[in-house]
Amino acid sequence: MIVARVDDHSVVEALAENSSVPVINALSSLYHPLQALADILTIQETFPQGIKGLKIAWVGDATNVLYDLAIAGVKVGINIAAATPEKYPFDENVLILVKGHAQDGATIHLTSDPLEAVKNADIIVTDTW
Amino acid sequence: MGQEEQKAQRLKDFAGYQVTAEMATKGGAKKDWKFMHCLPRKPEEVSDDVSPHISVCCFS
Repeated sequence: MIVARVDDHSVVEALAENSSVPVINALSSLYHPLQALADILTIQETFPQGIKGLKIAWVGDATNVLYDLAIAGVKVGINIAAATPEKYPFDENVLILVKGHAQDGATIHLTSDPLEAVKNADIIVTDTW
Repeated sequence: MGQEEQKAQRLKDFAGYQVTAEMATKGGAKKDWKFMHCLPRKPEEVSDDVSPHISVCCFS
């Protein structure tokens, strides 16, 4: 197994394409799936009564951490709202992925207004910018 | 030198995005909302008054 922490996401994709062993993305420019796994686990432990229908509000930059949190979140029925400055918009292709993976009616709402994003939020998240 | 300019620009770009207790209250977050941040965090990203909303630390 290869666990690779890379810069450009294309590097981990090339690794996966050419490797004869499994490749785990330990962080790339576009994604951070292990972070999302840790975050969802933390959320499960913090909300033992159940996580479906919770709302996560992200306030900050549009980053690899946000993207995988959004993908993982909607897969388990968690609603996502993300406020990023207009200058740092959510990636359009990732948005399509998020919408395609949503389960149990989970939604994603994008805005540049943090106050709009945090409305009724159970969890507020940010990351380094 | 370039890094300082970059930091100044980022601070400008993200004005109003520091997560604070006031933001959560004003915006209508749930009363017992939880805060998450993958460490290390910088003070401009989140204010100290958010600490009551941190129930676990997760390192990643």
